[in-house]
Amino acid sequence: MSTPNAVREITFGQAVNEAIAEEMRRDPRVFMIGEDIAEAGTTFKVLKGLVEEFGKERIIDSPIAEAGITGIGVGAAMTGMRPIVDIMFGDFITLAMDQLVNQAAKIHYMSGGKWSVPMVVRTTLGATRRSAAQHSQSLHAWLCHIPGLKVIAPSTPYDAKGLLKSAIRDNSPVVTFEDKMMFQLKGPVPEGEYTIPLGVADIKRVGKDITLVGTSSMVHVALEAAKILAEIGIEAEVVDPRTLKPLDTETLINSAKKTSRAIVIDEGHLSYGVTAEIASIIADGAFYYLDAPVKRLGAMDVPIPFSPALEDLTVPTPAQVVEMAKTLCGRV
Amino acid sequence: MSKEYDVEQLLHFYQQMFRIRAFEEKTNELYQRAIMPGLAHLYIGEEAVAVGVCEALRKDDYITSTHRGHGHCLAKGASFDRMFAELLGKHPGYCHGKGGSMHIADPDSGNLGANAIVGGSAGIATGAALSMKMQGLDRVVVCFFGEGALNEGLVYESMNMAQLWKLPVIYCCENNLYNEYTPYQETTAGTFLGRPAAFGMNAVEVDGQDVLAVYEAAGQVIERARKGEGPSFLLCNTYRFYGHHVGDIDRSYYRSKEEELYWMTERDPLKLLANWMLDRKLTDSNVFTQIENEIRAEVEAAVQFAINAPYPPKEEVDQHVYA
Amino acid sequence: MATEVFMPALGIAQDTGKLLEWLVQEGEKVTKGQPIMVIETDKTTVEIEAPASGVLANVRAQPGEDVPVGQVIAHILAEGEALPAPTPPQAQTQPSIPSAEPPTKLISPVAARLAAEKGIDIQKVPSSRDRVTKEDVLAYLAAQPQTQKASPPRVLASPKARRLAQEAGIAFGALHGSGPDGAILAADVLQAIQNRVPPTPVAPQPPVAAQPFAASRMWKTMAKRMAESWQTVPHFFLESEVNASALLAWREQLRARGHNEVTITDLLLKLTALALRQHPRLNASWIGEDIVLHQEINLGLAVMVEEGLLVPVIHKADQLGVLEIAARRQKLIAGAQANRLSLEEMSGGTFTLSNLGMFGVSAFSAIINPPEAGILAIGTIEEKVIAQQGQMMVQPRLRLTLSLDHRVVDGARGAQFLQTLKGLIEEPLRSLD
Ligand SMILES: Cc1ncc(C[n+]2csc(CCOP(=O)(O)OP(=O)(O)O)c2C)c(N)n1
Ligand SMILES: [Mg+2]
Repeated sequence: MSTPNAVREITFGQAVNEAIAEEMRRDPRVFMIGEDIAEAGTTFKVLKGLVEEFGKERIIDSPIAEAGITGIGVGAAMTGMRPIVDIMFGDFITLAMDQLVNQAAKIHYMSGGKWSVPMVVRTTLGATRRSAAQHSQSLHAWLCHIPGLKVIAPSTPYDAKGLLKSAIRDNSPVVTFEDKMMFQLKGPVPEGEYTIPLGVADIKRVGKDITLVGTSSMVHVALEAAKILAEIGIEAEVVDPRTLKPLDTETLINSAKKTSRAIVIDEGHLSYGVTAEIASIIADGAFYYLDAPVKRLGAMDVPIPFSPALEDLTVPTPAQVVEMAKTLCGRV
Repeated sequence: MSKEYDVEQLLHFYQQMFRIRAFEEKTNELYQRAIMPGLAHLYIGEEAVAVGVCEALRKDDYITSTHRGHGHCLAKGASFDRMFAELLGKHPGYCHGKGGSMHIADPDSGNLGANAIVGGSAGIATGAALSMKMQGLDRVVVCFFGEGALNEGLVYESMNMAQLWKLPVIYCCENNLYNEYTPYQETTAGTFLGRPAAFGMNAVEVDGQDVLAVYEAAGQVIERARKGEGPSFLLCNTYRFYGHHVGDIDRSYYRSKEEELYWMTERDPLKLLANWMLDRKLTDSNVFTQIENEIRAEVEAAVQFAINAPYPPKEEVDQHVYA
Repeated sequence: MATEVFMPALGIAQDTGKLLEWLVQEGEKVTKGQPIMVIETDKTTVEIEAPASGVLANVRAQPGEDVPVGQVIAHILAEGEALPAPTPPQAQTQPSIPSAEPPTKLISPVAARLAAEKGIDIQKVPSSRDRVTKEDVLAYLAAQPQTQKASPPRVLASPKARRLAQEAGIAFGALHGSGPDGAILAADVLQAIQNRVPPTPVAPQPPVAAQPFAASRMWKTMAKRMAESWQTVPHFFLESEVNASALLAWREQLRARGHNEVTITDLLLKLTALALRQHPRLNASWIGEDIVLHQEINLGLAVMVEEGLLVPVIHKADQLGVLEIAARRQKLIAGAQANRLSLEEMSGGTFTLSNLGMFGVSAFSAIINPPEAGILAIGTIEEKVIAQQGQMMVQPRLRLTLSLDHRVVDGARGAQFLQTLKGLIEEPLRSLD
């Protein structure tokens, strides 16, 4: 419940924009590189205005070359700059995977701590935009699997700004996943400087009957479900890890201990994903406090289909969370 | 125009190009009426490339396509009704509604699939060519891509192997001047033709607005490939009249209205062909009107079919994950 | 020979003991009889004495570990003595498998699996031939008392329900599960706890300056046992007031003969033992899902000591004379107060007496000492005016309250026992019938 009483409401996209602008003003080493990020301000127009303030030398429009710009980011980071690499869609991170996994993640370790890669990779996740299988994936779990990378997945404008600023100042490579459906989401963001430390979860709603762990936009699915559940007397606690790697395991376990039930909701595919990791942490840490199996909701294990009739079946919805929560609470 | 063409063939080219034009105009309308889910990347302005190339191909030859793929699919023989159905996410669509605008695939017309990953089909096309060679088949593969894809590594890894092993593949680069919202000059060092030259690959540059020029150039490189003489790089200079996608309305920050107007009035591939035929008195303008009316009626019927078609049933969602 | 130190069985149907601490560290010298370790059983916490003098060696159990009874957990080596050599390899061809603990006997794989399935310690199974075989395990199983054979069916319960039940000492057997497939959920256990514990007035707030009081280990053990008993054992209570004239007269006669040490408690111990002989159902335990009748009548006597409550046991009390009982009691109480009770004296009870008469308590209900099925609470002897055959008269009266485990004894059986006991108290000569 760390959202302060701010009068000002801005969108998620504006929050991201502000975070980058503030850090670029603060630190001349920070620059951005990515496809269509300058005048176009990205496909989602999130970075509009940055090129006017910082010029084309620091807001670099790149060729369509994901592996290249990520590799360039690694090299620049190692030698005194603080790049933010923009990968337009999370799906395209696959093209940059070698640079991220084999290079960025390992250089600090392999060099015995001699070199470091203070780089941020900014990309998206999330379906339901009718963009089909190659523009709708949530691949954050891939990166969470790799030691040496940090991964954040903010759910509100406030968190997006505070976490991104911390990520830019971090000395390790950090990948931030923003849900492309949330750029227009509005929320309170105070004027002026603040950061949110990586690795600290946030309780978005306090409850006592069941813990709903949501990541990124699934936090809003969880909150929506919590609202419906409250009407039938089930008080759900909504926990947002905010940082997926490193995870704030303590907050997750403590909430589950308190409520004795948990559902983990994430938009990545269910198999081998973020939900599995968090569920296992809860099952392990809160085992003797659980009154029901820890449940998971994630994207169906199918490529995201184009047709709205099918796509909507593949991602978790508040109704699914409500049904599952009722079952766990013995209310069916 | 070195070749002799009979009127029927020329009218057929016109017809094919107009099919794409009419389809795309309808698509734009479907988007604007909020009937079509998602976005679409319109091919209007570039019709001569797809038609010129595909008319030079056999039915059993293969193509790979891109995010801007409706033109390629139609030119290779896709039908309106199943295309529209796919665009609307309906069950009778080419991919049962699972692919949508950017992923139309159709084995019957030799369409290996449109690809939403820029440069993503270079490997597929080259692999299909290797397969043809290994199977002793004389089919040719055309890999369509935009000039933006020339900055992806996979394209070069594939071109190198194609040239090394003399594979029957044509890398058809549609240079429409822009990578999304960025002029290619800002993203591309050197020259386009310098790239195939580095591999010692045969390369041809052609006016992509002149369907006959494209047809002839394509015919040469395709025959070459069919004879086992190896791959070619076919650079077609063209222009998209509309935005990067249907939602790209305000384009003033990356290109001027005058530029667009020039291409639409002076460089429209349909007008260019019609005028060429009229100049030579090969036909009269009523014929074009008649063709256009017939095609528009066909489009209308296809759209009605698609609108009335059912969405895929729920059970479809986990079908075809594995073969 | 090195002397084995093993986990002793201290109670009936006890299968493991928890090692709480070693009082002597490995390599230190010990003298026979010196306490060397503290263990906890389901009843009590005791110090175990060294079975021999020498040096403690080969310690194999760590504090906190639950060890099957009978398992060797250390050795005591005499001067210059070495550990027993591992069994030499049987033949040259046998591969030598490096093992921390050399096998003490050969066991067939089938026997080992069977033993594991049945939950028995294969080391305890005697072998009929050169190796322990499946037949040996089956024979061993057949020789075990019935109750050890059938392990209760697995109960479905959530982890939280299990933890709560364990903390509260609730047995799942009595619970109805409201979860899927009848699984017991936390709410079911909480309900059971609520039902069991009689509603108590709102606990008074501790005074602000309250200091935490460090309870002794003995006290903690008692607290745990009593809480467990109260929450697990379905108690019920029978009350009876008896004429104590004959009892007092009996004691007077004994005193007149110089046996000043004999107390009312001794007489009641004797008579209770005799009554139990007639009502074996009260000399029993609920174990697993069965009633187990005990062969011996071993009477526990609740004794207050500084650190809490002890229940030393007079074994085979039914076979002892009153004077013998009195002598045992005296010794036990002295031992308890000096904290010098032996294991034997502390364990094996089958029924308990608790007498608070000397404090002027008229009557009280006692908490059963599991796995016993009953406890008799004895109040003070008071002169009362009673009506007898239409006449008012004054008579010494004694109130008895019997607490019973309803899983073992029902009301009628309990009442019959009480009737027998009442008869014996009012006419002790009946014991000669
Ligand atoms: C690997 C990858 N990177 C980025 C994109 C986003 N994107 C889609 S179309 C496009 C521009 C492609 O330009 P070009 O290849 O010239 O094709 P055109 O759109 O001009 O036909 C970009 C960057 C993508 N789809 N795939
Ligand atoms: Mg282009």
